[in-house]
Amino acid sequence: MVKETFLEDFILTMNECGFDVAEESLDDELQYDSLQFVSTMVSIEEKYGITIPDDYMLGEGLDTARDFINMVYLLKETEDEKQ
Amino acid sequence: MLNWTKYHILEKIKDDRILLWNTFLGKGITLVGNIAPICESEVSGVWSGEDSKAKQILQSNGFLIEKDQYDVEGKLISKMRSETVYDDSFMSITIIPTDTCNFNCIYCYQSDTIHNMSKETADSIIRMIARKKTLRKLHISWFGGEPLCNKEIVFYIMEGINRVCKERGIVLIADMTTNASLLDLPTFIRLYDLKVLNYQITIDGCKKTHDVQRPLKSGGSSYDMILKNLRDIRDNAKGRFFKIGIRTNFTDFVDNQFAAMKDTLEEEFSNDSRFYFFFQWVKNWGGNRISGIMDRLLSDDEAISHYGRWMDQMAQTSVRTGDITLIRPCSGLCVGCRKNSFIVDTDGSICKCTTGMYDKDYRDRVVIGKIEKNGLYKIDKWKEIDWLSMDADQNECEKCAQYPICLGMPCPYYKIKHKRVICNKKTDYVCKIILAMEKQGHIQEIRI
Repeated sequence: MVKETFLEDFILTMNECGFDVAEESLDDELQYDSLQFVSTMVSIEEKYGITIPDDYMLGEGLDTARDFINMVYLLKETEDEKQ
Repeated sequence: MLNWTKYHILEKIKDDRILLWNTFLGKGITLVGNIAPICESEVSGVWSGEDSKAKQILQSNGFLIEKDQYDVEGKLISKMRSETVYDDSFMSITIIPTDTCNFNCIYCYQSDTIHNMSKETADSIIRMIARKKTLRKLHISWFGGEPLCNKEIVFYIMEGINRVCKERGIVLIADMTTNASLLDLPTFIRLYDLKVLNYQITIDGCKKTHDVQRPLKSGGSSYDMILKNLRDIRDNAKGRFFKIGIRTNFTDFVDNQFAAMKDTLEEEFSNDSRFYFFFQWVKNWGGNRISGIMDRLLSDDEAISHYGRWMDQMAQTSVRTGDITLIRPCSGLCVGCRKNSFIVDTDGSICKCTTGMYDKDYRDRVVIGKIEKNGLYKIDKWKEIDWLSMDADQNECEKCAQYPICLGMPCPYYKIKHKRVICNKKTDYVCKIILAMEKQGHIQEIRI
């Protein structure tokens, strides 16, 4: 249930950032330029209260919406562990 | 047979090292090894050598192209210009929340007026954006005066715009030209969350020179205030997706203190890619104040001769010098040249140039419309066309390596005022920037 809410929320965030993403297209390759990438990363930081580190600055490995979701999970886990 | 693309720059650094920059693709490589065949082929314009590793690298990086591609590459860039100038999915709005400033810079072209944007005008800007149904990408720039002298309106508009963009799935990014004296950490963090991510601030050399060139209006020092804010941001801002460009406006005075400035920048901003350095030489940008320092200005020719030295010395530090954003394709295209790019003055007037709007002799040509309360806006098409038309010789531009950067449309205000097109090529700034990037290791090196 929690995961479903997260997914719905995440898809909404991606839509707000100009991505045409739905649950059935999470593995489709995303097309974005540097402007949309940066804008999206800042939206994700704000929405999930995380700081995205330098490793992700160039967008390497972030090809699909699922890649972005995995990044958020990983960073949230890391931050939770720190707390 | 393969041809060299017209849109490249080759700089020989050493006998076994060359730097190549593709201005159309906005990327470069450094080749190390036996470069003689490459240099010879570049002069001839065609690759007649063997099928070597060098050839493969040049081809895969877009330096060598097929003959039929070579014949149409200029037209491809001209098409890119038309699409960029008339793109209805993009909008760029420079907002002047106030024309007042807390600084009294000795070269400033603006006059001492106090006009603050009202909430009513702020609402009309938000409505204007909401009404633009074709909009997919929005770029907001904050300018002044000092925009943070009317901070609350900046926050108010950015909150409204963020709301509209979220609802409509519009990609939003914003920047700000600020003197940074009021850019304290809480302000910066709030702006970051509102997607104001790129900043241009100015530090004119060391404390001694900066405080002479950029004093507070009250007469006091501004240097320490700026440095304190930048240190706070550097040490405490959590977000990584911002860039602060530190600009230095050079006069002979700053030039004489170059070493002190370099030391400070190196001490404060080394190895931090969020901060980068660039410069401009002080020119007569208009207004009355400049008359007091005319004898201290460098001529364009003098400044250009110093340009390489400044860039070279800064490139020896670990402060990022020569940001790639300055030389990307289209980056030299003035926002005034784009149909959906406007400057909104404090009263809602729609202008095309932040310099020209303060030129009383030409303001009428610069103001091309006004936003109404409901967000509708009318543009005077007769005035607008002066800004959107390409008046350079297209055939000549298509032959120029820098065409993808400026798209043949440099400074439309200069064109309107002086009735001729000024070409930026003579400054050769692209070469200086790529050389600085190479020196700092920001360009991929390949052994051949």
